[in-house]
Amino acid sequence: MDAQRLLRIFEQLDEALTETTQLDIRGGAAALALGLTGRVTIDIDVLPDSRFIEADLHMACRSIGIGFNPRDKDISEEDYLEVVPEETLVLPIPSKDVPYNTVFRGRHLTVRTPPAADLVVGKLKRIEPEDLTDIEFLISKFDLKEGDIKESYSRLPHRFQEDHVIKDNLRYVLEDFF
Amino acid sequence: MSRRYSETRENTRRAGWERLVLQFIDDCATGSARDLTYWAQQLAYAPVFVNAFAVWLRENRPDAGQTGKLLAAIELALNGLDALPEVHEIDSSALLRLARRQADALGLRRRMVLKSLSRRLGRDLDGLPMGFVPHRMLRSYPLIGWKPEAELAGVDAGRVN
Repeated sequence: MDAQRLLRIFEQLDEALTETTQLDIRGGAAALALGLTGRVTIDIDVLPDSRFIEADLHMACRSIGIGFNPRDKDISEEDYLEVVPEETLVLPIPSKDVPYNTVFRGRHLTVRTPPAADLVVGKLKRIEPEDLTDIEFLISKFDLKEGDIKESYSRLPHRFQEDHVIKDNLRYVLEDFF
Repeated sequence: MSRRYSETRENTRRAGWERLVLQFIDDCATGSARDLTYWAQQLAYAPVFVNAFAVWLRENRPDAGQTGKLLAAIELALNGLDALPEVHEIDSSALLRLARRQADALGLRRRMVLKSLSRRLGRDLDGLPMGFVPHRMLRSYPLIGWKPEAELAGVDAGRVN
């Protein structure tokens, strides 16, 4: 999906949902929703702290023709929505000082992304070429400073702050983009 | 089960980017001006390729001969982000296309990334003077997008620059 398709999905989900739903998204879909052009992604990563009724969301996804937590992601040909498992989530602990960004507000559905610096830090575990392009975009679009990234990093759960891969990737990002 | 499948898809995509980077290094080694221009445009304007090279460079060190050629490509890429030239033999639509490519790249702070890569290769290009985009960069080659497999299909079919 591209940015236009993503917006259409939000609009269709809003019509299909019957319960008030708040989806917090990250990853490529978050970058698209925040305005990155040209990018495509197949999945919408939903943070587990989002507020939704699973059966309602599952049915809404099915009714608009997108997958919901597919078992075989690698062979999925259709766009899908996936609730990120808690154990794989690398994301700073939210702070009242840096609010989430609302990227869609409908009758039933609100979609938000974590603050841009948190999205950057959330990509430090697995930096692929596409992730670096997302990071370039987020730093430029939100005029992030080195201090913003470091502050966000300081809110990571301690076990991730001590992760050598994440520390090393942080060093590269600070070297390359500031 | 789904995790394993997901990693397979990611590994395939990453391998695709790596193949493109190795193609870039091979092409630069030939010294062909056309190849150099093609890859300089990918570094300067394509959305993801420069980052695929950055990822590769973290884990690999090109030899001295390769390094000089790669630095030449990076310098040409930086030149591709300089001012548009006033040339009469090129139509304004070509200049507009180039300007759009520059705007997209500069919006992503591409100069900074290219200079960081050059430092990693042992040369500081911070003092590189700003000038006009070189004439050979005015011919726009197709850019590699977000899907390395699409470009590789072209390479496998005998891409013509």
